[in-house]
Order: sequence, then C-alpha cells, then structure tokens
Amino acid sequence: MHGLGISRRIQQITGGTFVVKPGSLFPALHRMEEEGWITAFWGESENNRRAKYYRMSKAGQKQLEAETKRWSRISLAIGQALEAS
Amino acid sequence: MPLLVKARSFLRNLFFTRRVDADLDQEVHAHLELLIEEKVRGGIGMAEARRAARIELGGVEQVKEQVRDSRTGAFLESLVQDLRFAWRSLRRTSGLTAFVVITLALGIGMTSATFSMVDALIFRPYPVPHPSNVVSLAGTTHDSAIEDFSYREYMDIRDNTKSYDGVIAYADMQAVGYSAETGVTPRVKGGMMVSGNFFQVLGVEPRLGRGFRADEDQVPGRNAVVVLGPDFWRHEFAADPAVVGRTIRLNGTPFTVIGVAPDSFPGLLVFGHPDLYVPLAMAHVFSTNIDKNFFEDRDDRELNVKARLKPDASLQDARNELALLAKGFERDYPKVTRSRGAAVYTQFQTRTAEDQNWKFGVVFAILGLAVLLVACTNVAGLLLSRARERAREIAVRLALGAGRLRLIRLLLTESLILAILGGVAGIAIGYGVIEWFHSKDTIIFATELPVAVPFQMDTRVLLLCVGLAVLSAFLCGLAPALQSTRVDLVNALKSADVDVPGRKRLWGRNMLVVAQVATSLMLLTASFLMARAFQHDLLVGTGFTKDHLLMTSFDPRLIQYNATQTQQFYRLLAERMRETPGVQSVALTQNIPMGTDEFDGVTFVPDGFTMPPDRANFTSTMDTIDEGYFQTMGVPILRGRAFLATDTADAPRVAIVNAHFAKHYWPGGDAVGKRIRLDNSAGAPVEIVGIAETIKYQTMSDPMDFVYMPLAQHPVARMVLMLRSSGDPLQLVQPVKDAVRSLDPNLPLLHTQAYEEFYLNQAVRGPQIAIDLVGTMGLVGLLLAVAGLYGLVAYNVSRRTREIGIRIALGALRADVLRLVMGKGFVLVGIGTGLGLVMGFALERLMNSMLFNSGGVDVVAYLIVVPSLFVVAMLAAYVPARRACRIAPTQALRYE
Repeated sequence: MHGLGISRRIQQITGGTFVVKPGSLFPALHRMEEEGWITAFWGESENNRRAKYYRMSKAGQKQLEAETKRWSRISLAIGQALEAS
Repeated sequence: MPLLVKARSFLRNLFFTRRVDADLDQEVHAHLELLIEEKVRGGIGMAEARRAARIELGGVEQVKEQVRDSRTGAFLESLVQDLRFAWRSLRRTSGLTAFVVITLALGIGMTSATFSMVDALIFRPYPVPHPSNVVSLAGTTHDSAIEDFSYREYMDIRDNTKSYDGVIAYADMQAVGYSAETGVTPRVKGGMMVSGNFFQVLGVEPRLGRGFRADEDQVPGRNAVVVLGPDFWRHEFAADPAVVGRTIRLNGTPFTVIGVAPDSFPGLLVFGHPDLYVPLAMAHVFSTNIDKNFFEDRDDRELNVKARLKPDASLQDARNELALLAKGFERDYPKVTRSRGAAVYTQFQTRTAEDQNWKFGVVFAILGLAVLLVACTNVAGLLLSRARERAREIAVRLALGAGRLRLIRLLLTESLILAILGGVAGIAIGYGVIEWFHSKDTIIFATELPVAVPFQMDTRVLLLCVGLAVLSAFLCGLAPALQSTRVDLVNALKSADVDVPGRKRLWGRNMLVVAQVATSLMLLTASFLMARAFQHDLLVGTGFTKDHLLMTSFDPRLIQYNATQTQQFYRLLAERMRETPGVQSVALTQNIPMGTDEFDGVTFVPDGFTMPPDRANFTSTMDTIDEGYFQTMGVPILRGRAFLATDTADAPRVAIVNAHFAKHYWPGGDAVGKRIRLDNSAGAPVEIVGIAETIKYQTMSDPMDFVYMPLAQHPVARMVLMLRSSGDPLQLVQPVKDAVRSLDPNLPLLHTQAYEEFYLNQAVRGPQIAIDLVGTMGLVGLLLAVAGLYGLVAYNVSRRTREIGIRIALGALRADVLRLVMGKGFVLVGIGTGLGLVMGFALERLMNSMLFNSGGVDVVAYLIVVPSLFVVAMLAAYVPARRACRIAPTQALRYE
C-alpha cells in the first residue's frame, strides 16, 4: 500500500476520527522502515502512476502483535479505572 | 536482526545522503500527484485540485525536512552539516575570524597560564594514591598557625592517635654533601629525612628495589640506607637498574642504596624535588641544630607531620583527638611546650597557610580572567555586528522553514568552532607563558638545592582550557544567536537595512563596551600599582651596601667536621682572607640579607618587660655573624658597639639588636646594656651591647625585629663568607679557592657569586617578572578594549551612513557629525571609566591586604592610568568618527 492509501485507509476505518497528515505520515513510515518493521519498494498505482509502496515485514508482524497486546492491556486498564470512578 | 537493519539505515543515511534524499523527493512528489489525481477524480477542476492538494500536503520541503529530522542519525548529520557550513562561512570572513581567534586565544592563554600557577600552588593533589585523605598535622602558637613537631612529639602523635591509617614525618629538604665514592669532592644535593613508614603510608611503590622497612627507623645510626629520587637516579646513575645495593657517601657517611622512587612521585613539596630520602634514624648525619639532641629534645622541632585519615574517620574527630594530645604535651612538658596547640589541616589549608606565594597566583588568575572577560565581550560584539550583516540570510532561512532552535544551534556551532580554534591557540600561548617562566628559573630560585618551577600544562589545566573555550563560545555566541533569530520576518525580507535602530538592541553592545573599558582600566591599575609599589621599595632601598661584595658559602659538615674543627676552619679562613691583597674587609654570616634561605628564629624573654599573661616568650628572626659583618655590609651601628674579637665563647654572652627591636621592647629607654634571656625567663642571660640600623632582611616589606649573635658564642656550621673588594669582586674567587685548598682540599665552595648580581636576581629581576606579566595583561586588556570601542563606533557609522549622508546634504557641519558619532562613545567611556575606578579601588584594597600589607590609595597611579585610558579610548572612537565626517552625501544616498 502506498502512503496516501495508508492515510486514506486509516481515515476510512476510524470513521474519520484519525486523519494522518503527510507531516506525520512520512516521518512515521520512514522510522518504521529504519526499524525494519516494514519494507518499501517502488510500484505502479492503479492508474499507472509511480508510487512508493510499503509492506509489513516479519519483524513488523511481531512488533504489531506485541504492540497490540500492550495496547489492549492499557485500554483495558484505563477502561477499568474509568468505570471504577 | 533489527539492530542490523537500523545500523544499515544509519550508514545509508550518513553516506548516501544524496540518494536517500532523491528517493524522498520522488516519494513526496508522487504523493502530491496521487493527491491531485484523487481530488480530480472527486470532480473538481485541475487548478483547484492542485491547490487543495498542496494545502493538504503542507509544503513539500517542510515534509521532507520533518522526515529528515526523524531519521536515524539525524542529529549527527545536521551537526556535520552545521560544522561544514560554519567552517565555510568563517572562511569567507577570514579576517574577522582570525581577529576573533587571536582575541580568544589571548584571553584563554592568560587564564590558563595563571591558573597553572594557582593549581600548582594550591590545588594540585599530592602525587600519591587517594591524595584527598592525606592531612597535615601541625603545631600552633601565638605567632604561627603552622609549626613543626619534634621527633618525640611525632612519636607520641604516631602512637596515640586512632584517626589515621599511618602518621609520617619528614624534615625540610636540606643540603647534603653527596659523593659516589671516597676521595671525590662532595657535591651538594637536596636530601630529605623521612620516617620509616613514609613510602608505605603514602602508598608510593619504589620503581626499583624497596622502600624503608619499619625496623630501619628504630635505632639511631644503625641503618644507613637511602632511597634515590627519580631525577637524581637518572642524572647521577644514568638510570642504571643495578644501582640498588651500591654504596654512596652522604656527608661522608657510607649509605646503601635500597631503592629508587617512581617518576610519579617527585616528593610532597611544591617547589622542591628531593634527590635522596634517608631515614630519620640517621639524623645525626644531617641534623642542623648542633646544640639539640634530635632524638631526645622535645623542643628540637624540625619535622613536618602528615597522616592518612582512615576512610571512616572524620576530620573533626581527628582535630579533637590531636588538640587533646597537645594539651597533654603542655601538661607533661610545661618547660618546652608552653601555649602550644595543634591542628589538622587539609591539603588546601596547608598550602594556603604555608607560604604566601599563592596570593600572587590568585591575583594573577583574577587578572587573567579579566582579560578573558574583555576578550569574550569583544568577540560577542564582533559576532553581534556580523549577525546584523547576516540578518537577511537568517530571515530567508527562517522563511524557508528552518526552525529557530536549529538556527541557534547553527550559530552556536560557529562560535564553538571559533572558541575551539581560540582554545587551541590559547593553549599555545599559555604554554609559551609557562615556558617563559621556566626560562627564568635561575632568577626565581638562586639556590643550589634542586628546585623547579612547578607551573605546567597538565591535564587539569588543559581541561580548564577546553572548558573555558566552550564557556566562552556560549558567552560570545548565545546573545547574537538569540538576537539574530528573533527578527521580524516580513520587515527583514522587505527592507534592505534590516536593523531597525531599536534601543534595546544597541543596549547590549553598549554594555559590552562599558564592561571592556572598566575591566581594562582595572587591569592597567593593577599593573601600575604593582610597578609603583616595587619602584617605591627600590627607592627606599635596603639599608646596606651591595656592590664590591663576593659571597661564598661553606658547609664543613659535608666533610664531617665537628663543631670545633668547623669554628677553627672559619677563623683561619677569615684570617687568611684579611691578609689577601684586594680584600678590604671580611665577614662571616649565617644568612645573607635578601637571600633564599630563611633566617633562624630566636626565642627569648626581655628582662624587665611585663609579659602578657597568655605567653611565656617572644620570637624574633636572627642571624649569626662575626665581628667584620657590620663594617663589610655597611650597616651602621646607631648606639653601643659592634661585635669584637673579645666576644669569645668564654666571655659573657652578647647580642646586637636592630632599632626596630629596641623600640619594640624598650620604647622609652635605651636598649644598650639591657638583657634578654634565651628560651624562657630562667634561660641564659644575653646582654645587648649595640643597636644596628634596621635594614631589609628577607623581603622588601615592612621592617621587623632582628637579633644578631656572635659566631663564637653561637656556633653554626653553614656560613657565608662575604668579602669586600677594592676592585671587581669576582677577582677574589681564585684567592678564596686557594685559601680553602690550603686549609682543606676536600671542602667545596658552595654558592659563589657577586652579591650584587645575586641581589638583582633575587630582589629586582624576580619581582620584575611579576610586573611584566601583569603589565602584559593590562596592555592586552587595553588593546582589546580599544579594538572593541573602535568596532562599535565603526559599526554605528556604517549603520547610519545614509542618515549621516542626509544630515551632511542638509547642511550639517563636520563638527556636528563628529559630535553625533563621538558623543555616545564619550558617554560609554565615561561610564566605563567610573565603573573601572570602583573596580580598581576594590582590587587595590585586595592587593594591599594580600600582597603589600599596606593601606592607602595610590593617587598618582590613578592620575596616570585614568586620563591615558580615556585618551586612548577616545582616539579609538575618533578614527571611525572622522570617516563618518568624510561621507560624501551623493555616495551615501546611493548606498544600497
């Protein structure tokens, strides 16, 4: 998926709650690439335009799982904390 | 694995910057295209879509910059960029850069050189492991906070204290006659008697052989062993490792070499590096005090005592413990220990109590810092005007999306490069100053003992230089950096002359000039005060004759003369010399006036003097002389008589005091015929038979009490022969040598010199070095301040070129322009002078209290310094101001 695609997809899934601007998107993508969580390659878009595509790597998959677990723990905790009060 | 990926990206970012950047550029542009396409598909026109896409993206360059900042190694990369950029822009203005570097170098050089003195005199730790828990134990009396202990007292302290991991003792370094084998004329070396545990307690491991064993210091005279100093070993034995086990002769006694001290341990003294260490138990070979028994007499106080504090012991406990012990001494031995206390000092306290040289170091360091301050303000001023010229460039950078912090960092990098260059050059200058000091070694220390100027560029001083450089970078660079990045963008881009003449902005520069003028006035005042105080001393004079005198010192102990033989030798020598043609008169003295060795002290009670309740006796400095002394040295006897040949050992004891002494103890009456008792009120009576004129004895400072004793009644081993010649005193050297050879061919002539030459080195050229140094600092400060003022006025002129042009076009006269431009300089110099006067007074007070022990204000110094500084400063303002008058209106209005 290319950068714009990712940004639009996030917007779509979250129902427009998260709009990732290019100023945040590109630094994030490049950082993740440098960490080895995603790999980048040049490809053609559906309209035959050159675009840079990103794909998740194995390390990225692992990192995602770990982060997901962490997140669910945190959100669960916060949810409990909010309910308790 | 992920680490590897990261490292690869890091390297890629660092070395293939261009490719990574091109890729990023393509990516962001592709993104823009995709966005436009999306908008077009959404049904808006191409032009509108382009606009919307650009707004959403928020600027291609800004996005790229954000990505760059988030990359691995971004910091390093931008640092390298900054460095490269700063270097380029500094090279573009190489003249300014050179000036700034030289300015900073002078400041840092002066500071580091003076700090190296303060460091050597006060702060440098003892060259032993864990130096901070080595403390000094000292006796205290009414007159002195730091007194030596006797051998017995040392033993008691060693055995009865619990705060220490070991207590050591050592005597002052003294002249020792050394010869490698019998039959060779001994040469003088510096020897130090130390306790048996000296090396072990200090934690010093000999580089060869071993240190002393405890049992080698137990029985007086049994173990003649010696540890060599590292330099001595190298010079005398060519660093021969087989030296251990050899026998050498010290003062004629054979000693076995058991070890060599390591290079890391040149000794505990600030100035001296002992050649030889011998155990205290061998004291009879070295002891200076003939009438006392070193091992038994509790008042034969010759030992410095130091101890290593236990890690868990507190200094306060140690102090209490020792004070209690000292009370015990006073109780058990009241005769020899009245009103003596004891104290424990840290290294810092010891160094500042021991001698007064450190005060000069501190004053120098303050002046050095002042030079650095002037240099920094100067550089800050220069960078400020440079920042103004670059305001446009900086505005463009800010508009193009450079962050303010990033720009400040860039500008600070520039000043850091300047400071590092200045620091390196400053180290070179500091090194030069210290080398210059070393070249004056022989002038500062005219003695035959091994001494060395301890000032050196060691790691500590180098670290200070680096710290100073970085600090000055921030001092000089921060204000200009903050100011120039705070520009109003719109104005800056629009107008050609960015610098709106706001009051606030110039305020900073005005402050700098005021500070410079004030500081350099202070520096100049200091150097003038020193020079004048010194001149004053020279004018007052010393009170004795210095020309046509030859001095030669002897120490018959070096060849094992006993007391009788020694006195016999001196009597015969004086007789022979009196008969020598060309000799007008002959004298023997224990110490020469203004010499390097300290005079002995005499403890006494004046007869008929009501003693204060809290003290049992007084002390005074003294000298032992023969009957030819006053005539030879040209010191007048005011009342009574000089010593005579009839004042023999069997005759009643006599003494001569100086006028100061007589007035001190018999203010109303005549001191001649009065008596003093030695040591205490029950001591041997000595009759005062004459009063001599008060002269300068040790330093040029205030007059002091002084007592002379005749050699025949107060035998001393080490004496100086003084010969008054009718011609060149050096022509008498050969006759002296001949006379000595006829008496004993083995006895060496020690320090042989024309007295006048010695005196000039000691009393005139030595202080001159200090004055030169301070004078140089004053001049450097003045030059820098002049340059700063010139820069400010020139800057103002260039900033106001157009305004001045208009004024001239409208009919302003040259005088008006001159007034306009100079007026401000005048006010600034005025304020600076006022402030400088206040600082100068403060410094004068400090110098008076620290160095000269005198009060009062040296009006003449101010009368010279203030107007000349004012004139020079106004000249610095006048030169650019005159240029302003010559501005041709047509040219000025065309300007830019």
